[in-house]
Amino acid sequence: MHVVTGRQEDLPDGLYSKVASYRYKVFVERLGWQFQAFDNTEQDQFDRFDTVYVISRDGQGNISGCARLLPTTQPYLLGDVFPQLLNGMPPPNSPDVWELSRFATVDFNAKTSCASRQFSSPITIKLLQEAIAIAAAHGAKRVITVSPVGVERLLKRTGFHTHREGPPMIVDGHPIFACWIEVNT
Amino acid sequence: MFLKNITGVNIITGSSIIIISSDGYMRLTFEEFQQISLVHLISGLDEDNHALLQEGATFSAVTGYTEWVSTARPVISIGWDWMFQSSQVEGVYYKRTSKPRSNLMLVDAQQRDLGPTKATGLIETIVDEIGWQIVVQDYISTRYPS
Repeated sequence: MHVVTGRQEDLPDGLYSKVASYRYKVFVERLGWQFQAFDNTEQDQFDRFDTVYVISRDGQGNISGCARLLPTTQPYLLGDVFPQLLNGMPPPNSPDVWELSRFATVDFNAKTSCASRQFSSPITIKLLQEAIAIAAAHGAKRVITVSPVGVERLLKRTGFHTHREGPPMIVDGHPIFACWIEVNT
Repeated sequence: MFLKNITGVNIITGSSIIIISSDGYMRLTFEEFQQISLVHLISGLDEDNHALLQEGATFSAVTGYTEWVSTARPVISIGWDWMFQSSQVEGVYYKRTSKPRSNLMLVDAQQRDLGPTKATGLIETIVDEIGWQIVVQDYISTRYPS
């Protein structure tokens, strides 16, 4: 597994569009999320010039996972779209806090993979660790994530100190929640 | 960890003041927590199980999650994993397979954090007293009719 990270302009030519296609396959086609999609790609208003991507690729260069990091000093998913997940608290707004979203690891090229095993592979753990490390490198002391509840189990298993902000909400039939991840620097 | 800066929401529920600290935790003593009622929010099968069951697979053990909340706001949220097993010896039963995950940090009388390990252990004792199994069983059988 090889991890590539950076803003859109930092990524190798064509990789960002492959990420958008990968996200469409995972979130829209496989998981049935009702995200805005165009031409079999998935991206939204938070895919901007300052968004940091963390992408895992296999030996053939195929994408096997992705994550998105946003500073909370700029518009971000939790603060703008899901503030109701914050249990009445104001959205974080600090250079110390980054948001992790659109996290998935589905290896479409692994013959034994069940595509819904979004949170259970070694790739998942590795990509999550990489994403948190990259957030830390950008100054994060804490990461907050809007994720399906299954991510919390993974985070605990991976050894991160985490806790939820409030109860999950059901969106498109899936429970999602906001979760804090303490970054050890 | 000592008392965090309090920038959150305070409400009075009975005789207890529930507070969200700036780090996102709600801090209560164990005695205060014991006074709070928890109600079922949602339960489900793990995505892997659900996908495979839809493909016609059958299991002797099925795994899933359940989420419970307090009735007062701000909301205490607690979730855990479970396993449903069917055996000839023990029959059909639901078993908790993870520690509770929550937004709760229990504190002592001086408002000092008990720490995640001790707090989780105490939350477990409450979870195991609420008879969640029958609630989850009813919910799952309705949500995923066979």
